[in-house]
Amino acid sequence: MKNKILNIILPILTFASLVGIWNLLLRIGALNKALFPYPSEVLNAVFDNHFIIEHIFTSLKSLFICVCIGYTIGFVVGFVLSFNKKINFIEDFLSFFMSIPGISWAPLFIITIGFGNPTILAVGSLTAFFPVVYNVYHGLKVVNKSFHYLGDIMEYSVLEKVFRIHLPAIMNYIIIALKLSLARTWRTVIAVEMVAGSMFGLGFMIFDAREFLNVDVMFAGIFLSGLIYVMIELIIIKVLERMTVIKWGMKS
Amino acid sequence: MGDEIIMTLNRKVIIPAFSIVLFFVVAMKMGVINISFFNHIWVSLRRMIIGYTISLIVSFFIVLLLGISNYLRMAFKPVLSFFISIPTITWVPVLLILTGISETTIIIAIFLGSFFTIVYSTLEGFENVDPNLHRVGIILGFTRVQSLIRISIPASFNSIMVGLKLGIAYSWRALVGAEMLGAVQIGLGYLVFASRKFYDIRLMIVSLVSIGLIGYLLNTTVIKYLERKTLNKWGIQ
Repeated sequence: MKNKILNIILPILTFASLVGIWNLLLRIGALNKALFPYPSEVLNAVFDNHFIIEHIFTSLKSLFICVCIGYTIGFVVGFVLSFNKKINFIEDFLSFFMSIPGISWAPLFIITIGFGNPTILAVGSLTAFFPVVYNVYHGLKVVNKSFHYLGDIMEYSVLEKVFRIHLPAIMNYIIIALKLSLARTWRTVIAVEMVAGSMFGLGFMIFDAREFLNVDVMFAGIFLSGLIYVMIELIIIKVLERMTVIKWGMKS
Repeated sequence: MGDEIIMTLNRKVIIPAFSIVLFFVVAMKMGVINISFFNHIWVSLRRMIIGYTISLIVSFFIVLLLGISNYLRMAFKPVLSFFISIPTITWVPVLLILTGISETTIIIAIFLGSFFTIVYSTLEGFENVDPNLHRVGIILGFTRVQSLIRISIPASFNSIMVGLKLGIAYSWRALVGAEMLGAVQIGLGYLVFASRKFYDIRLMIVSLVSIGLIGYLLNTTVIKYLERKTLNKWGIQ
């Protein structure tokens, strides 16, 4: 009980003292006032900016669309790939594609599709795609063989096997895939917004503020993008985990 | 056992290394790249090595500091996890203002990409150490620093390795992003972005693939080597 209270109070104290130190350093002039905003200015930049909702909403919309497209296609492809047992190098091939940073696809798509939203969506979907394929494929490969025999014994049809055996058995991997693709796509969407010159989006907001030396807006963008990702993870991943994996006792 | 190691070595190290050499030879024969391409690769790798080493050193001292007390760990873990969720590339515009278009910007971006992840997963490893081991430390009369170095760090090496692995992957991403935005005249990320201006799609694809291959090699070879030296030798994994 004592630990639980401390677990909440101590981080708040740390955050508060970090903000305090930041303020103090500015007051005594250790940090350049032209290059670092006061914490209060950052807050102002969030609440006074008329377009902030638009920026956040655009980024979130891109994230959502990209993850939906990438996840659906990736899931199907991973499932289909797992049917063959012979080809081993698929996994290496996929992990090679996973290690290409999403943003480095951007110039290719800028040339072929052009500036703006389509490029962001294409690059984002590509980034969301590979972790899902990899994890679904890997999960289906390492799943316990006796589950398959169980399906045969229960005389399940193919569809029943998929929904009652395969999917629950790889639930861990499904959630990891979602987590990875959310995290990577969020990073990539923001990065591509900087490069591919859209009109709205958090990445565009930060990069645009640089031109005018609006440091407060830039810091606001940085902290907002972190905060939004924390919220996404808390809302989507934690709830999903509690509903499935933790409830079934696969993960504590 | 020996066969298995050779098999995994084949799959994870030798085949990628061979294919990267083959790829470069073919690309050079086709005239897409010339010898200066390797300079770009070398500069990127050098930045990566410098940034990652700095991040390793700093995170080691921070871990020593935070690992000593449970309360400090509780206080700083959420802060770290907040900083992890900030995409590293968002720091780059700020760094461009602070340090200018220079080597420093990219190295700091690499540092920021890996530092928080390494510290976070190390601290998470400390939390999962078997309490019996700590009791052994108490019996042997270890001081706090001693028990940190001789019990906590070896016992949580699994998650430290996870942190190092993630750290390399994130740093590589950060490097490419930072090189694109902080247009220094050299580096793989710069090359991808610059070849767009010259409409040189072949060069773009070659540099894209080499970014992927080098990232993959860093992630497998370096980490596999470290794992063989530590985890497999100690029989943890």
